Parts: sequence; structure tokens; C-alpha cells
Amino acid sequence: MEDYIDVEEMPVPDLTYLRSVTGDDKDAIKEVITIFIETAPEMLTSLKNSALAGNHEQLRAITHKFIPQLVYVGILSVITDVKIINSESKEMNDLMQRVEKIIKIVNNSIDYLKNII
Amino acid sequence: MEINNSEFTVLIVDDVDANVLLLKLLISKAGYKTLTAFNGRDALEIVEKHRPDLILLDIMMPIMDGHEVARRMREIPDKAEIPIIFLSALNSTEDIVQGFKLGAADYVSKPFNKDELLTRINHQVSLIAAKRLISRQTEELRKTIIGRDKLYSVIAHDLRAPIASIRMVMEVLIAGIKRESIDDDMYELLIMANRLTDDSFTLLDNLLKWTKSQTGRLNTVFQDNVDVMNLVSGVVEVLRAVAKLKNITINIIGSTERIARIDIDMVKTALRNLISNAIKFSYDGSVVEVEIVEKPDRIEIFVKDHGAGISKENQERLFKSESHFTSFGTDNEEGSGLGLLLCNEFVKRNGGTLYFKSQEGIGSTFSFDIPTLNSNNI
Repeated sequence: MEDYIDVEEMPVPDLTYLRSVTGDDKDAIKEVITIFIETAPEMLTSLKNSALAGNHEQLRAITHKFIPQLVYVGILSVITDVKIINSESKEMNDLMQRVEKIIKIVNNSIDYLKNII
Repeated sequence: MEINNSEFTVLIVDDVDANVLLLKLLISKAGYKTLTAFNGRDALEIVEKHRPDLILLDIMMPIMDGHEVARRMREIPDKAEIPIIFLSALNSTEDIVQGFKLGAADYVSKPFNKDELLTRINHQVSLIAAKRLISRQTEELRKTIIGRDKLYSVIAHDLRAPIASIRMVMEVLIAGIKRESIDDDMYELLIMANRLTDDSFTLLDNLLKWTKSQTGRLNTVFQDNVDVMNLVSGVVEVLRAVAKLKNITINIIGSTERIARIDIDMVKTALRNLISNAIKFSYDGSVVEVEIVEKPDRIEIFVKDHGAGISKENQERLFKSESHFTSFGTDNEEGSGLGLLLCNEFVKRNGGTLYFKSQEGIGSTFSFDIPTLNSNNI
């Protein structure tokens, strides 16, 4: 399990990209983070349900939409996992483990993001 | 070319709020006007109502995906040309290729790089602006050409008939008058007036035909079976009167019984121009030779003068329509520079080729060939 990150030690969201794209527009940054906080839980639920149901088409669609949003709010540590699920979910033996890891990290990041807006 | 971004509207189509928000912010900051849609169907409605200048289109969307939007847009005549930059989170080659097949102008990955995205948008907008400028200039040019051709046509048409009448009167006068009944000066004036009238008529006739050929109204070559010898004799006969004014003799060398399937009016115009030029550049008292040479399936007609000839430098300018090259004849006759251009065009349209050789101070020979029918085709 050396690929997996200890959630206690996961990095905090990196907002460099968002600051750059918005030109450090505080309102815009806040709005993007708010949108993420509002929509991410639903996406995580869909991700888990699709993985449990073995619905690979749905997994592909969800991860496709999720990647840019994770980049915007700087949750970069899960990008590789999301991309792997997007392209290889059918062949993965550790699909559920990866999904759980993503959920934990994203939820943890959401808590962090809630505190900074 | 200076581009004012605020004159251009970019439609952003994406089903993810955060994407739309960031794109809108970025593009607005660059000075563009923006419109937004969150699915393909709404995007098509906006395109119909507002006609944006550029579309940033996400591929994977609910209700109608980006590829389908592009496909439908290409079917709307006045919207088909709106450039589309596809946006997608994954660099799927299949998606990219499909996008370009549907006419995508460009492709950008999400999450986008700010500078790259703006560079690509600016590039598309500069292409749109250049296209519009070219379009405007083309339209202005088209109108100018129509105006010019109309003017040429009116001048040529409306002046041709009265000049033709004057020319006829002059010819009748000169033919009917007794040389000794008037002063030498008066007779010279009459000869000059007759020559000028004839030149003017030829110029107007050429101008009219040139205008027609340039405006596409002379596209159809009216072909008929034409007795080549009759054609040559007829043209020479008419021009003998003109040649006589410079004491020039026109000799026909050779003969033929061949028939050519040609537009008689065009070939007559070509031959008339060549003989007129030969007269123009011949000296008083010299000879112009019109020679007919039979070749297998073709006839070659040579018009040879022993006049001023053409310098090497001027030979290169003879058939350049943009320069309208013209020069004065041996008796200071003026030309329009249209005659040879017409000859070349008309000979080509009748399946022939115009040739020439010339030496300054020795004279010129212009020739053209036309295909003839063999007896089985008649």
C-alpha cells in the first residue's frame, strides 16, 4: 500500500492555480471554492455508487468532470487516482480502495476550504 | 490590424459552474463580451439569437454534447462559419480528432492554462477580424469593378453607334469627293478625320468586347462552321481602305478551302486588330502581308509588317493587362493597349494560340492558329 497516502499527512489544497487564473480576485476565488464545496459531496457519492455498481461509463463521466474542479481548488494529490479510474476502472483490482482514498482526501480538503472562505 | 476585443462576443458552453465562472472571468478581463450556456441545447438557442463570434465548447455535457452542438451548427448556413474551440478535461485523441472533423478551429484541455487559452482565443479573433476585413474589401472591390465595367460598357455602347455613323459618312465623303475639287490641306484634314474616326470606332468596339469578356458576359463562344478564306478576305477588304490612307498595300499570300468551327466575330476581331496594328506601325508606302498556312488540323494566319518593330523591353509588356501597354504608330496613331489583349483572349477561346516575333526597325509578325475541321466533321 505504499502508493496510498496517510490521510493524516495529506497536503492542504494548493490555491496557486486559482489565484493565477482569477488574477487573485478574492470574490472569484471564494465563488469557485463555494461551488466546489456545494457540488463535490454529490460527485463523491456518485463516484462511490458507480464504483459499487460497476458502472464504468458513469465512472468515466464523473471523473472526467471532476479533474478540472480538483485542479481549480488545488486538491492535486488525488488527480492521478481520478485519472486512473477514468481510463482503467474496468481493469482495476483496487477500485474501491482508490475511491475511498479520494473521498477521504476530498472531504478533508473541503473542511479546510470551508475554513478559508 | 488593430483589434478591439470588446467588439467580439465569446459564448462559453460548459455544464460545470466553476468552469463557466472561471472562463467568463478570464475572457471578460481580456475585454471580450461573453455569453454563457450550461448545455448544448441552450447553446444552440443562444447561437441562433445572438450569433457570437467565437464559441468555447465543452465536449462532455448532458442533454446534448459538444460534438452534437458542432454538428448541428454546421447545418445552419449563417452560423456554420462561427469558429469553435473545443474544451475537454481529457486529451482523448478520439475526442480531439472527432472535434476537428466537425470543423473545430482549435482544442484546449481543462484545466486550462490561462495564457495558452487567451492566446488561442486572441488568435481565433484575429482570424475572424482578418476574414471580415477581407470580406469587406472584397465587397468594395466587387462594387468598384461593377461600377467600372458598367461605365466602360455605357461608354462603349452609347458612343459606338454615333461613331459608326460618322465613320460611314466620312467614308462616303472620301469616296465621293473629287481629289482636285478641294484644297490639299482640306483633303488632308478629311483623311485625318476619317482615320481618327476609324481608330475611335475600333477602340470602342474593342472596349465593348473587352468589357464583356472581363465581366463574364462573353463566356459562351458561339461556334459555327466558318470558311477561313472568306473570313480573311473579308477582314482584309475592309482594312484596305484604312491602309490606303497611308499608301500601304495589303497582300494575301496563300489560300485555303478549310472550314473552322469558330466564333466568327471573335476571330474577325482578332485578325482585324492584328492587321490594324500592322498598318499602324508600317511606314507610308510599305506592304503588309497576310499569309495563310495550312497545317494538319489547323490553319496558321500570319500578319507581317515591315515597320517600326517592337523593342525587346516592350515585347515583354505586350500582353500584361495590368500595364495596358500602348505606343504610337508611325504616323502618331494612338492605341488603347486593348487590341492585343483581346486578340490573345479571343484566339485562346477558339482553341488557338497567338505568337509573335519582332525586331526593332525591321518589323513584326503576329500569327495565330485555329483548329480546322476535316471533311468528315463537316
